[in-house]
Amino acid sequence: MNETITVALVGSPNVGKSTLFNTLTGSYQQVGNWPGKTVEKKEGFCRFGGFTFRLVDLPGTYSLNARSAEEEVARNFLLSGSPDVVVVLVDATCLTRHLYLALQVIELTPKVVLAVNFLEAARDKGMTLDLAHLSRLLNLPVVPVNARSGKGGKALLAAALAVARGAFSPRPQLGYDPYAQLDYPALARTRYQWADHLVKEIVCRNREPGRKDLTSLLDQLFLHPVFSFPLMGLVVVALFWLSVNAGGPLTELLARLFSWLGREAAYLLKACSAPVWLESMVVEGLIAGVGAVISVMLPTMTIFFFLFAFLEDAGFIPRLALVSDPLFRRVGAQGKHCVTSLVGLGCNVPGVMACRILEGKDRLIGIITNSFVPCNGRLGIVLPLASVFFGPKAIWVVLALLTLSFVALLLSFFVLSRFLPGPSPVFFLELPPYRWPNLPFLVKRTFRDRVVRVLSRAVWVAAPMVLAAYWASNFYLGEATLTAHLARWLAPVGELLGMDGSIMVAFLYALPAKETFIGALAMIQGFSSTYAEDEAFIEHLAQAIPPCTAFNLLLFFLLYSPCLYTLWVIHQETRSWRYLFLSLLLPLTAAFIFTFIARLVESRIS
Amino acid sequence: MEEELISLDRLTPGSSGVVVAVQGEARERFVDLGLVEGTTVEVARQGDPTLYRLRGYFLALRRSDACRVLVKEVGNERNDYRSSGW
Repeated sequence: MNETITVALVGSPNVGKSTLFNTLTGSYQQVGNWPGKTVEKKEGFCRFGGFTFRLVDLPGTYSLNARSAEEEVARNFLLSGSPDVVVVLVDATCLTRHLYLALQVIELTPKVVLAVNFLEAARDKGMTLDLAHLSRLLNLPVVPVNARSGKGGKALLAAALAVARGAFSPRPQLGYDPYAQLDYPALARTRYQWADHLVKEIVCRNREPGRKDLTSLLDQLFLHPVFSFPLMGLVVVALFWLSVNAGGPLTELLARLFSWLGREAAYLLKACSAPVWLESMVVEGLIAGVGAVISVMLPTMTIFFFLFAFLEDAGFIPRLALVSDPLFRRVGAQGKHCVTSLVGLGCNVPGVMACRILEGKDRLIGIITNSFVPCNGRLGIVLPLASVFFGPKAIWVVLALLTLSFVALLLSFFVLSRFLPGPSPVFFLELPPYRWPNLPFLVKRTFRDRVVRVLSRAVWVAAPMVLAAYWASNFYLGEATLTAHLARWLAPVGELLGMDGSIMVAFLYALPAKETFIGALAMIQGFSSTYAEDEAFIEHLAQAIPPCTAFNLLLFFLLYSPCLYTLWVIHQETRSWRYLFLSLLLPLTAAFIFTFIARLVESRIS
Repeated sequence: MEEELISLDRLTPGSSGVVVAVQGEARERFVDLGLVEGTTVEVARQGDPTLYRLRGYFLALRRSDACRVLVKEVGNERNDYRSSGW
């Protein structure tokens, strides 16, 4: 028999819904110890008892009121997606609030199976739950599960199968009439009263939790009124420092590898007497472009996102949002913006996507401002360039640059919160308990999610652009190359900012992938981009560009615009050309203003 | 004796209050989060945002939002789960 049974998976944020989905289907999917991670519904398949189960993981919601996008997606699927059975996953440690959601599902459809997660945690808190009694009271199957280990998964599927095939038709009993309520708060109160009643019936507290649990101990530290702020800062700096420093040697190695590969390929192609255009396409375009992206982005970003995912799954990140809220509130933003900005430090693309944890106007602010956060791609260029230009003083220059881009970030929060229409939504934040993350799962997720993305971006975005830039710099249009024409046109702009036209062209060429900036600079200055890592070019750069110009260059580079991939994702997320242009123009304007001011200050000093 | 109602943001650290009414535009959001009449709310961490403990979980709210929730103060003892509905 080959029949597909559609199972909808419903639950509040943080209940372990995505984890259960993963252990059941064995497929990959983002899971985070952060409220509101899954916004779109995701599908996976598994087989049990001769049937194929199509599992639909609906977004985590606190209710089905259809007030937010997540709630609407969940509600619409339950009403019109015609699932054969709905599995509601609830948390045994705070059952009433989760039963509140379960009751709303039961109001919509009788075909419900209740799965209870975190029973071990409840036992540690000194509580026992009589699930058989709960099943009798609600008149529907109740199955204990452990989302992480997958224990109880078979029983859950069996129960789902029984309900879907009609072997067991639940006639859920509600102790109230959902249609008799006058207004929403009254209905909510009635649901909570019934949930409270159920909990009183089935939960037995055998002992008071004597010692304090791990979460409250750690919170005494991380949420300490005085120390929390420096402690959080320290964790963030450590995250940053670790990913930059641990990634550094690997970056160097990869850069050398690609440089070697380029030279060997050139040698080989020459030996085969391949045409020049083919040689340049392979060496200058494919190998140099892909090499720049992979060597700069891959090591740092992989480490960064592994560490971030660790902090996220451990439950640290919502606490960061809580502690940083007072600072961000002063500039019209909120604590969750701190989190999305931090993700942007790894890469602006996931940074923009992380803004799904925000709502309404706050979400737009988060998306548009994310490119002010210097991503690993830009830092991977700024750090080596700064040390070329400034030698031992580079660290101070980098600190000054980072401070300036942080100021630009805060200013853009301030400006956008004033001028974007609409009221700021309510700030609310649920703090989950601390949990030890599932490490193999983290490794798998980081690699599949980040490594694959960086590699595909290197091939599809960076390579064609480097190739186009190579063509523009080496083939003559009239008496000069396109690059030379562009440099002449852009020279006045460069002049205004204390740079020259050719640097401005390099900014233009590095727009698709900022990591290719050094390569673009080399190409425009007449060096082969394959040799961008070589001593000769680096020495040439250090001599050709004076310190003031170098500072302006780095400042402009940090701020000027999100990369094309980020812009595309911004459009995907906002579905609006207006906000796309705003996301492009705001950083560009800021880059012009900041660099212009820097130039004025420099001319005053000298 | 007259019962004194205060807004949630004026609840002192370590003390608890029972929700009496929720006002304002975010009313539906608040009731979904469990802030319904009769729910006991305890202050877990003072500050802005303040961290509250209700129904067995922790919820952080800004003072400017928490002031829309009216509570009746019920004193300083830790609540047993029955009254808070943990």
